[in-house]
Amino acid sequence: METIIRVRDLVKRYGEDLVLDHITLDIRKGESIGIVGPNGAGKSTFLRVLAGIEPYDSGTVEVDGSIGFVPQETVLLPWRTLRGNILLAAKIRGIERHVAEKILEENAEILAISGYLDMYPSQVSGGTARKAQILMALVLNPDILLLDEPFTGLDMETIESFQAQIKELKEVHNLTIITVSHMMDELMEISDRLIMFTHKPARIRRILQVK
Amino acid sequence: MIFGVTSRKPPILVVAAATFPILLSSLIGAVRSLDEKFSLLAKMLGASKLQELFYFILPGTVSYLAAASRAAIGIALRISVVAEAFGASGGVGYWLVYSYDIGFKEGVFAWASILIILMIAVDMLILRPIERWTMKWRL
Repeated sequence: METIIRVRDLVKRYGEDLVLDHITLDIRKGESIGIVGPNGAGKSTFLRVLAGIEPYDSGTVEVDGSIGFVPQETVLLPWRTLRGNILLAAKIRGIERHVAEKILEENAEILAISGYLDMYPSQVSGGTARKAQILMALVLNPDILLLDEPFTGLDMETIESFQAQIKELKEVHNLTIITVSHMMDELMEISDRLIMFTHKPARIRRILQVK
Repeated sequence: MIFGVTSRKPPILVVAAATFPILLSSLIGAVRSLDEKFSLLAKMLGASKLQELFYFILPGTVSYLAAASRAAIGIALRISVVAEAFGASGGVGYWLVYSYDIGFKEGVFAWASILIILMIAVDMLILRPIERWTMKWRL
């Protein structure tokens, strides 16, 4: 299987504070990777570096595909409906409206939020808003989906259905998915491999083949 | 002005001077807060600075400006009465002082009552509903 992300000796500092300490990792196309580690280890920073929205100090990050990033905190515009938010993302990226609407409807059905699309972010639950954020990433037609702590604050039942939906999205779109969490059991269900980070500064402590 | 002022300049100038600093400071605060919140979204989507301004920042300032306008217009109304009293030849402020000067107590109470009713009506019927309506857009 071809490598879609190649990370070599990645080092990231915030001032004098070393956050990522020589991370080396290959991620294959179509893989589902879980990154687990203690709070504050640098997992989210690693994800933002992969997404290209955070600069790094040394090493190399090669990404062979487009990325959809879903941050831990939902960032939806409160004055637009969920649909409005998602279509705006497509508009900014220059995706035609009818194409975006088709992708939106298909994926909203998988994520079971079709009935909420015309509501405002303040009118829906945190879980629905997070799914809308995933839709916002998916409408850009990415090859790689990065999910930062997607299960935080959700109850067990919601997490289970959400995990099944993520797996379905992966199958339908042949996505490479990288999910960050501090809870290993949340990641076991959806991951092919688990990458365990140490306490800050983050190094890879262990790689566990799940499937 | 509403009740027969002949010169519009003093109240307009005073209202502008009273509201501008409040609106400006609120606008600056809103832009900073919106930029902090949505710069990540802009980066994620690869939005240009112009797109960030038009899609994320400007619409987001509406609720902040509505709230600031309510405070500013309340202050401006009070100040404009004083301005009318000393710098205009009509309006509530002018007639209130004029009534006082000629010892017409009923007139003073009548104009003061009109002023209070006007301020409450503007606040309750116009400013507060606008603020409430835009509040759902607040971060």
